[in-house]
Amino acid sequence: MAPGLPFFSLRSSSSTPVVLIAPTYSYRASVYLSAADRLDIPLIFVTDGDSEISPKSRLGIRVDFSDFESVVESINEQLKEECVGTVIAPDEKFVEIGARVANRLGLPHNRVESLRPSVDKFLARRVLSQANVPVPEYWMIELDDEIERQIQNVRFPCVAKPTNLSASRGVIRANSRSELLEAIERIRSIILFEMRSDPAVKVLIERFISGSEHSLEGFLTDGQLETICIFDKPDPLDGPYFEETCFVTPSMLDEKVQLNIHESVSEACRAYGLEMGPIHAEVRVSQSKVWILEVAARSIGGDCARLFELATNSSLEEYILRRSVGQSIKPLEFSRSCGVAMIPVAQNGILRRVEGVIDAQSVDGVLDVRIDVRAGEKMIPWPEGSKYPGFIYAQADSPVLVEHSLREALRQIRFVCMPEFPMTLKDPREEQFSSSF
Amino acid sequence: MEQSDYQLDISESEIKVTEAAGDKMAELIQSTDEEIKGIRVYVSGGGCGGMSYGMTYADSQSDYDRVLNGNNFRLYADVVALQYLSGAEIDYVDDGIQATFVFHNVFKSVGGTGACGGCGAAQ
Repeated sequence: MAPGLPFFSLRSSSSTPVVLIAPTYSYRASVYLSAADRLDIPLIFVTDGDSEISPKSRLGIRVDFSDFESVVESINEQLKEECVGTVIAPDEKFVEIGARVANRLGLPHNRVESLRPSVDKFLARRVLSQANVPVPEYWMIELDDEIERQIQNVRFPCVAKPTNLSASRGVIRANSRSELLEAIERIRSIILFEMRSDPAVKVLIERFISGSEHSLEGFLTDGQLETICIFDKPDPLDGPYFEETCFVTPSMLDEKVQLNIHESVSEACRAYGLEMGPIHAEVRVSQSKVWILEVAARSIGGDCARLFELATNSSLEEYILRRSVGQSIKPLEFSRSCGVAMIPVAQNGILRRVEGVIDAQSVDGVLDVRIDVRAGEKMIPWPEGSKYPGFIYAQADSPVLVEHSLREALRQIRFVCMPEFPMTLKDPREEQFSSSF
Repeated sequence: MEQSDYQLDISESEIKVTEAAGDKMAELIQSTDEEIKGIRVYVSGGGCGGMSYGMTYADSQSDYDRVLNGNNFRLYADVVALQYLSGAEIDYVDDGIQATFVFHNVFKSVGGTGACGGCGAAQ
């Protein structure tokens, strides 16, 4: 079917529909579709691809997301006759499309300019610095320019990160000049592998801030931040790589420090110009001072959000939907302490089988273990990798007990892998590239 | 309808394995457990960045696999992978700095670099 044409059968409804914009590969789309069904909120699903990902009939628009300029036109053309309540674009790469569509329809939404720092790490550092929000000292490196000259003023230890990748992919700590040069070359390889071209992209270098790391889940209404919860990350994230492990809530930080986190994230949102919708922020706390690492105009990533569904009386997506359509509802509350562990990738290889899942599920306090990889799938550890092979969810009477349950369950899981042999491809023009890390 | 005889073996015109590569594959198979049947070449992914190629052990033969029976080794590739690999030669090079299987003419059957190039990202 041609892009821009409506698909799915039409459903009449007396309520004002929400527009959900997401690609078909989005892991967030299906949870929003389910949440809308449970709440009986009519939803217009704007997506690409040929398959209907929801069995229920609903309003839908098929578009081609690869043409950024025309996609907004196409969506607006389709929606001009519809009475739409709000627009939600839950995936980071699509938040700008969501804002453009909403702005054109005259619906309340974030301005496009306010979203740009949330998807550009360098711009975020600049905007926050100008607003006097504490961020680590930073430098920008152009990969296609002489590297030695550009890192002359960098202070160590530092963290190098590509500006165009996510999920801690390519984020590497360097304690010296030689380590930084190595890290930059490794990041170059990651980007080269990803893009199969010479990367004319930037690498952000920032001063490493020692201390504990935390994340804040929140929701903005008219610029006012409501903190849904603060997660502690009990594992020290000191590098050299920065894949996530355990998230536990409620935070065991002093209440005053938690308030500081709330205030700092609020200041960051104001600096960006964000006014509404879900917020996911990552911060470091060093001697009670809060440093902003990231503020994103979306909810928590991966399958972590499932924790809300398991440990509260609502899913996070239901909460966001209800708040987005202006319903007055009680804050999300965890009745007990809970947490989620992202299962790390310990070794490179081809997955043969996963062992210990039943043992992990049997650990006291564990709510669920979810394995997202299948036999034959390639397992790539950080910093080259970016996919967690699974998630463990736990609930207990205290954050310490939750952490204990998560660690015990993590100990049970074993990924049996076959090695991947090094290989090099040579095409007829003798352009050579390694096929794998 | 006429019944077709499907080819189960990989012929030398489809994938050629040099002596060095064959010896290395045999060595890899002998050094592991009995569950391992051979070496698998696979292709995954797609999209703008092109296909991703890999080599690992094969612990079973699927209905879609074809097999190259070499001297003390077996090389498995499923029919999809074979489409991309047809015409390729697999060599093994160990120059003391890097030891790697080298695939020549990987894109002989499909042309180009295996990347789509549709958005320019692969160029």
